[in-house]
Amino acid sequence: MSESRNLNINRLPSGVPKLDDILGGGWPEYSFNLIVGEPGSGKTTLAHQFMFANATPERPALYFTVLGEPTLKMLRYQRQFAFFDIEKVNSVIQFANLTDEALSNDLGKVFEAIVAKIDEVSPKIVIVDSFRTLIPETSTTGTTTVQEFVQRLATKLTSWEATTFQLGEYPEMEIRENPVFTMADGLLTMTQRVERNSMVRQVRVLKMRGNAPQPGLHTIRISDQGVQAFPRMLKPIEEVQTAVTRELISTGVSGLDEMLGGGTLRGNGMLIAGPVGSGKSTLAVQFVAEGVKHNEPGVVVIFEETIPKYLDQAKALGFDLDEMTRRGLLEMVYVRPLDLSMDETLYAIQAAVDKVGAKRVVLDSISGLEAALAPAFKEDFLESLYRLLGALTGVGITILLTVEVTEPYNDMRFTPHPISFLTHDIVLQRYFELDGELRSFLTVIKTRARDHSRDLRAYEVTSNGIVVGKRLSELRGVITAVPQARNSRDA
Amino acid sequence: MPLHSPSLRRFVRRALVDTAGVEKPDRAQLASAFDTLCQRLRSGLQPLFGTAAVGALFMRSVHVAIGEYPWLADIVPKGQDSCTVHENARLGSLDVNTVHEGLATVLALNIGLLSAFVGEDLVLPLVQQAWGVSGSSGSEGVQ
Repeated sequence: MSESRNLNINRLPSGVPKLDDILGGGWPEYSFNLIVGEPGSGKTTLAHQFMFANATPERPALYFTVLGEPTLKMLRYQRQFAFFDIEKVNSVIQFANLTDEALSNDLGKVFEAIVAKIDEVSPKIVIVDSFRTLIPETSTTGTTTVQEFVQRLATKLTSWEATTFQLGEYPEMEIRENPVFTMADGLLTMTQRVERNSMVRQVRVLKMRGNAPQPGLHTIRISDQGVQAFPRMLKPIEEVQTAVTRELISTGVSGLDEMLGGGTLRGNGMLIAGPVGSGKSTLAVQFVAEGVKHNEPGVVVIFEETIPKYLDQAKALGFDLDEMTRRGLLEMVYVRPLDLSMDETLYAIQAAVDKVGAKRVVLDSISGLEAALAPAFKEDFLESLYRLLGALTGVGITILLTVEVTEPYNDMRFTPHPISFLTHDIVLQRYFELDGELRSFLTVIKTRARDHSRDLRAYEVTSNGIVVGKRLSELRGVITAVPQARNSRDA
Repeated sequence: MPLHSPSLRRFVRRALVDTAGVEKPDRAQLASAFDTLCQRLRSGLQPLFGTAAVGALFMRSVHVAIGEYPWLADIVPKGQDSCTVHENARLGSLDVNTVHEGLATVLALNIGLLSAFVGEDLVLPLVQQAWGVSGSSGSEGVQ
């Protein structure tokens, strides 16, 4: 007996960044796939990206347009995308218009037209856009039923060793009930919805025979590059965990290092919470500049200030972030479209980290990060932040997050989100009043796995950054923001 | 490509002469050449763009050309499925160069309109293929 061998299915790249990860490796060759979604959801663009990425003289493509978007318009708009290669059109990519056949309302005629063109071109990639307009609402047209038509078409195209895509506007409810969908090897849905003023586009793989696709909804964005996908999950945290040297590293603020028990541990997440103007960003800049000083590249992700403004403010404190960027030791990321998914943000940060090989990352601030997200993604904010921190700290990157505290002074919450469990170290900055002046103090609330100072220490934001002063031992009630001299009680 | 590109008109005028098969075609020969080129163009474009779109663009080009050459209204086909020029008294009354220029304008506008939508680099190879002209006398000829 011969030993059993599994059949290796070749997978074709989707041509859409990151979509292959969602599909489970790409589109299986010779598969019969349906891409469904409402008008404007990106079906045609997705199909074009696949076609332009894969069409070669050995693998010619044939694109049928039917009653939906006129070819004239479709080509006009698809030509705007960077992936559209005019050299491939009418050489390895042929377009064919089936409008006349479709208008005859006879599926038999449509099938014959498709077969005739396939016999002529011998394509290895076939796309029918749109499938729905080819098959009207009535279940039987002419002498050929819809199911028969699809069955015959699928068989024909498979016998031609063609990888096939049928695009169509189908609501999700119909997908569950329509027997046409059971015949497909792959089924991808594309959705779009407006939430407040944000456009949320997502894809979902409902079926992909021969592949193990990533479940769930994944964000996509359509730009001049075409469709770009953002798989929902970065690698699971347990997969990215590597052996990290748990050494202490400086925050860039010597007084704070002292309070933290010698600095923060590499691979930690440190939260800096404080009211507006308390110097959180200053501390963040010192943190990343300290890394650069020791040849540790960094990434600063900002959501509120623009990059030029942030650079100016840092320069005023004596930190030339622009120069660090030019040396390739720093990458600035500005994220503020206000309709981002968390996944897009994660990938933007990951790309910056990979670009410079970052060892330190600043997120300034997570309040701004939340504001930049589309409303639909705010519900998952905490979980997404957890994934982000896990993905970065798991490979030994130290993260500093800032968060604005807006609560009354006598309330010791650090953030509107219960995020303290996500971070290893927490530093709180506060204002207090003394002698008719607004002063600042900071304290270390938590350090994981090591001892730390419980002091409340005054600090000042100077032209050289934050300088931590002495313990406020002569005052009591500092956390109420209106302390009294300790000797006044003793008197 | 501008719809009134002189180089495109020159290209079409040359194609009419080549199709007529004589260096100085008369009115009837030009009308016949127009019919041939128009039919070939449709045959080349319809599989890609569909009958309706190709017919609509042709009618639009006729409409625009009539603005420049009003006599075209009496001789060019009105229906979007036809390419046949009416060889009538009106045609017989026109100077042959005027006929040549007017008919070339219709086809040049047709190509120009299509190019405005999807780009001349996509359209011109289709035209060359449909008319059986080489690259040198086709796309380069319209630069």
